[in-house]
Amino acid sequence: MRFYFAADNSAEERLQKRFSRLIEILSQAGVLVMSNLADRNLSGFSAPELEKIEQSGELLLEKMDGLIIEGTRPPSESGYLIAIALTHQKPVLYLCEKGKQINQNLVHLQQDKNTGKLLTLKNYAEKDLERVILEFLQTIEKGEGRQLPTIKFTLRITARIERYLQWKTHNTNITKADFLRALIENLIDRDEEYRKFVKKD
Amino acid sequence: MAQMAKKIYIMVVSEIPGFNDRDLRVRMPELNIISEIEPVLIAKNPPAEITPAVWLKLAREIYQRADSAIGFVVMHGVDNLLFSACALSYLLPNFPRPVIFTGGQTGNVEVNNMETRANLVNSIQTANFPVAGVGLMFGNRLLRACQAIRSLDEPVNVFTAPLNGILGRIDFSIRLFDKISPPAKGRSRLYQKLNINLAVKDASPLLLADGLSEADKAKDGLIVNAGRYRQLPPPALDLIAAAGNLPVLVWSRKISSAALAPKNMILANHLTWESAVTKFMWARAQTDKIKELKELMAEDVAGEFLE
Repeated sequence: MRFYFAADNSAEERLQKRFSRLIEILSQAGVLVMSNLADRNLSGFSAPELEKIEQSGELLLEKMDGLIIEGTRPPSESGYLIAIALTHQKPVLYLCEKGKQINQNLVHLQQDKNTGKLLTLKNYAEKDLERVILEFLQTIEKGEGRQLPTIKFTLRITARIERYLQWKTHNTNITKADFLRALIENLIDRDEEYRKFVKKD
Repeated sequence: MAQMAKKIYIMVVSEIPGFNDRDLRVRMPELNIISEIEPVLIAKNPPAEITPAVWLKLAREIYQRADSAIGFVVMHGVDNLLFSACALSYLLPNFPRPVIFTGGQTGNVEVNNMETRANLVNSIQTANFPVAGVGLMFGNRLLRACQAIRSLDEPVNVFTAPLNGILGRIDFSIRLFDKISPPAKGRSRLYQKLNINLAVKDASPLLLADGLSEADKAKDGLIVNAGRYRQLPPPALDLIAAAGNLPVLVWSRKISSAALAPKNMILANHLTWESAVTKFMWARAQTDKIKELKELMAEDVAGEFLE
């Protein structure tokens, strides 16, 4: 899972430490974190991958599974990042420390019936930070935060598999892609080792 | 200029199926967190039917709003977009705000299309920057409009440009390069004339075989598309000579010199096709003297010259 984390990189040291803590929590949960904070911006992509994305015209945020913004001191591009993430149907967690008011435009956006499904606004106390983040990750994994499968994945299959998929889905309402997705969801549910890994969170 | 209000105008030029300009803020509420926006309906034509009359109206509507805007986004289908964007570059020289053309891959702009929505978000963010000039925002690149050409093999980056015409790229944020123009210090102007009484000829042996018709002679100028030639073919030279005092713009990126050409010929070899055509329409509307026309065509109006 890949996440983009944005925060004000000129914020005071107290907040900088919290940003580092937040990245640490995500990393420990098995999330690959990219961020506008020093040296992490493109760290999750190899040079050929970046070249391919650049040529294709896709945006890097399309390649992310979600966006997290620490908005106690909102980074200047937070509005843009949220808008582009929502456009690509990516879940967004906007964090603000307790006692600070969240921008009213964001509150309105959360009340919207479409964007509200993807946007989570949270005031947090420092001691709750880990719980808030892990709850958000679990919500995404359960699919509540993401209504549509949005990650493109090219899979080459053999003629035999193709024939089987055709036979299996013929005269049903299920597409071949839906059938494969359901199989993988099933595998995830039954994978004890993975469930233990997730519960470690 | 009066103090700027933080507003971005979205000029809707092409029809948007199933979508009304008034609904934009409701259909895409996320736009409101980037900036205050105001849609303005200019035309509902399919993009392939957008004509110089629409370009003139668009330029006028933009110019009139300069004081209350920090930038403009123009929603336009891909067909004819390069002509419209180049025309705006010449109709609004030294315009002090960014004018960003965007849309979708299909002929008509479709607001439900994810790429179109992303292009719109990226354009609005770009229009927030204190820059000037007419640009195109598609995929992950910002291009100078009058240096752009249609890209045939890149589905999302619908247009491309030489390195010098790439003004910015998007990774996680929009990064504008130094070559993008800051707001111009020269006087901003609005031109409201384009000469459309021009004939266009393709410099192929077949198409030039008929020579110059009486209808062609009644035009205010000719444009010869010689894009495939390194040297003008004899029928094209005959045609230019037969044109007499009629100005003839010859477009080719490969012909390097017009030194021995007839005096009524103007060579456009450092412009894109769309830029050459619209610049000639603009210049021809200002003068009928060949010498002045040549000077106007040689003038750098909007950073249009290709290296």
